[in-house]
Amino acid sequence: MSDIPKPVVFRSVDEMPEVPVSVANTLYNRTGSWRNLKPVIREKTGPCATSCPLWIDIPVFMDLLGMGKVEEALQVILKRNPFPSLTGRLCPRTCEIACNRNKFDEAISIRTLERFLGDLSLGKKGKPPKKETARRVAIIGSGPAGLTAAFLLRQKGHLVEIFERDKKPGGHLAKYVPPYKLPPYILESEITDLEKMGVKFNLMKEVGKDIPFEKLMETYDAIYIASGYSKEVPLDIPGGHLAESGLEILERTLDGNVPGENRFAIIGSGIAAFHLARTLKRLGKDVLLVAEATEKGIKVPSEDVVRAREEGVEILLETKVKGIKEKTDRRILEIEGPEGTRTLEAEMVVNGNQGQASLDFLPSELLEGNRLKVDIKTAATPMKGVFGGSDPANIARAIAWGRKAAISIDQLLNGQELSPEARPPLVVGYKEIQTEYFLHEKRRDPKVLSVKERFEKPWDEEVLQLSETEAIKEALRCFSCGHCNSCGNCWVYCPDQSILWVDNAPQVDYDYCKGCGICTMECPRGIIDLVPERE
Amino acid sequence: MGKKMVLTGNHSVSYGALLSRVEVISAYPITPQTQIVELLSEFVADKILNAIFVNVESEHSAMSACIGASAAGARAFTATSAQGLALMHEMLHWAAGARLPIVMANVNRAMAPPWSVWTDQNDSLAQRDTGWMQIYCESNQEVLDSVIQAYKVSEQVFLPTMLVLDAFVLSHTAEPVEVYDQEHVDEYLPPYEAKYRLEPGKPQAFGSLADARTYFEFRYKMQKAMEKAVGLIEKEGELFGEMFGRKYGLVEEFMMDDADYVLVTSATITSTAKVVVRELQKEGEKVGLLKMRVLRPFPFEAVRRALGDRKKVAVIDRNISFGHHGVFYQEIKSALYPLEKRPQVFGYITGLGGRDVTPQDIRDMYFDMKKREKVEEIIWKGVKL
Repeated sequence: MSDIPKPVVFRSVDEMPEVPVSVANTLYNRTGSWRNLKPVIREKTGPCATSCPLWIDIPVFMDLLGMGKVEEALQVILKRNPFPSLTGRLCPRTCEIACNRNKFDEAISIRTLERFLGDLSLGKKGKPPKKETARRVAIIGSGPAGLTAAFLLRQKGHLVEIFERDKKPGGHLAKYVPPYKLPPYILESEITDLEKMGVKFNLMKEVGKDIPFEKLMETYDAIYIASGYSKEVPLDIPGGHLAESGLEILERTLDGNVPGENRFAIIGSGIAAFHLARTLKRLGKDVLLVAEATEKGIKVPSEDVVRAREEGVEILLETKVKGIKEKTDRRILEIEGPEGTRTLEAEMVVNGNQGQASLDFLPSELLEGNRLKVDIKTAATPMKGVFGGSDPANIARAIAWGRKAAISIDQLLNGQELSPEARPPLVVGYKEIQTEYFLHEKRRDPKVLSVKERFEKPWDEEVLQLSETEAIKEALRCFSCGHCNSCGNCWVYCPDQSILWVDNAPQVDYDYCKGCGICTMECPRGIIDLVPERE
Repeated sequence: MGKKMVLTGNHSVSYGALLSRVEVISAYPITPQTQIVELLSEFVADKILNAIFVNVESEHSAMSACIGASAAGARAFTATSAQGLALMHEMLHWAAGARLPIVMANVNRAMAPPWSVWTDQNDSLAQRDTGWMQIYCESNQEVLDSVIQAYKVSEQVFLPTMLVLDAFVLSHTAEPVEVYDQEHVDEYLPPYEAKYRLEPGKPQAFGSLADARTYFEFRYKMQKAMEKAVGLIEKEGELFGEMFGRKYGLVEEFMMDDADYVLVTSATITSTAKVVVRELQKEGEKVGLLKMRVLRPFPFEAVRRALGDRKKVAVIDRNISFGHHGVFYQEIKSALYPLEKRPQVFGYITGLGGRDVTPQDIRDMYFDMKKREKVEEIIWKGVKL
């Protein structure tokens, strides 16, 4: 600051320049002392990121993708989610529901872009850890939660073994998700990568049957219980026992063992119910889906409902099944819906209720009724070294559980206190977005196979990939809520040149900033707050 | 040396700017000026003139563009007329206050309403106090010569110059004009080297806030620059005469020896009056003529020297300061006031809105003045009373 010239005082006209031009500058005048309010630039995030169970830094990866930095964008996702090619196809996209852009025109196609980036990571993650810790972790269940914990713990150098009672790893992804939604090669590629990392899969090993839980307790330093649902909640209606298990029928059908019946009634509106309904329909069956839920109350991604209807699945909503009767080779359903009470006929009735876990192999001190006793923040159970928790109904939440458990287990194995990750604290709402800086632009959705194509090729993936050009264009629609993308508005509009540009990012020059607040008003994405000087 | 061309007054301006090697031209079209910048735009398009032509949406912006260009060290030029000049008013102060040696041609056109495209001087005289030098031209040759001299003087005193020519009588009338060789003009007018200029990498504020501790001195300096320009205009006009054969001063005395009576004129009325004065002298009248070429800076000494010792003076104004008198009349009268012995000064208002001022009109004004005993400050000549 010593090179700042002192103010110049002219004592006579001869000392002055001929024309009114500055001969010194005003840097000696630290106008920052006039400030009552000060702008604070702080990185926040958008509602997309906090509504995502995985807290993926969506505005950041959108910014990078928009710049064409595809690999860097992918790394931002991988930091929080090892399997974007799975969530990019199957997650219920709460991020898109929360997207601020919904209030402007249409949400960003976040899931589509995640899938675009995720598919680029296939086959590239299978690197063994740099160092081994020789600590052993057992994971029960190889669904997304188990796979996630395995990935993260193996990355840290721990020896990870997965116990899976089925012959294929992947949990419900392998058994209950039709190939037109998740082509099998995707899951296989992820499993292969895990094997390359050194994760050991013990298939057809059911804990409690093939190997007692106590044995695991003795052998391993930590255990993660990530078992999923195995059977539905039974139908508590007269004749409920006449309904077949939805999960069983679905598994059978996807395995190529298609039931011979032609008219199906599926009770329930969970994802398995929809998967079964659509699969049977594509195979030429008559399918009726009866659910108590309202249109809005359906918990599955809306495109499943839309496509089920397109394909000809008959959906009766707000309808209760009062009872099921047997009549030779038929089942008679008594239903009560908005149009009153009536009966329906089907050759097979299927229980499409949500599944529930069977945890009876566990010691009773881990259970609370039929549920695992876990701390929702750390995934810790009352037994030291035993962790648990998953959510088979929502893949993003399942992966979040796996992540939580992995972090806690790693902390435990390192002798640290369990400290869960903190949720991103500052979220920018729609009102903080300066929408005049954005143009209205329609969202880009990937091409979906026509109904005709879906019937012709029932197992082909129904949603196609977005091209890179389109993906980048779509990413550029993102408001980048709470994430500074170096647009430079603050720098342009600061009337006092008190925004410094350092490493392609703004910084407030508090020596001179008078706290006028123009930068906070002109930041399109709500990053600059004006706070009282003495706070 | 040079070549003779038949040029209108407007195109004489264009050739003057061409020979001055102007670097930035910004203008907005307005009758009767448009031909000036039209020809310049052709020069630029044909790469005869190495300049940037900036199209703008108004005269205010035209002058603003010239101000920016001049501040960056370029030789800037524009042309306008009447309402266009009025729209520039704010920026005229800016150009002068920022001490930028811009040269502008203003074709004198009567102000609206009512609309008129014909000549009188109220548009340029209304800008008298903006800090611009003003040169009123009599012929197309003087127009061309004055553009070159204007840059020479402006760039030495850091003040802009407004070159004034009558609508149609000069602007659209063709005369033989000598257009000099470029090398010859280059000898007279060197490239512009700005003493202060906007430069990337050397940040400076131009024309920013000057509080009561410094503003006053900047105004003092402007007045001193104007006073310095008085001598410079004479000196550069003299040098121009040596180099090109036509000498210019602040004023021109025509047949003034032994004249008891003097007609004071400006612009094209001068040429008409010269014919009349020549005739009257042949008839034995003791009459002479003083042409006011430069109004700002005002040539006090030249005017006093020329008029102090006469009996009567008639100032012919093609303008009027409403509620006062003709502007040249006011100026001449106030210049003569400090003299102990002063002539009687009569003010004639004539030719507003482009009405012709004929030799007979001037003859009438002369005899009217001669017979009057008492001074009249406004004598309307040619108005239909």
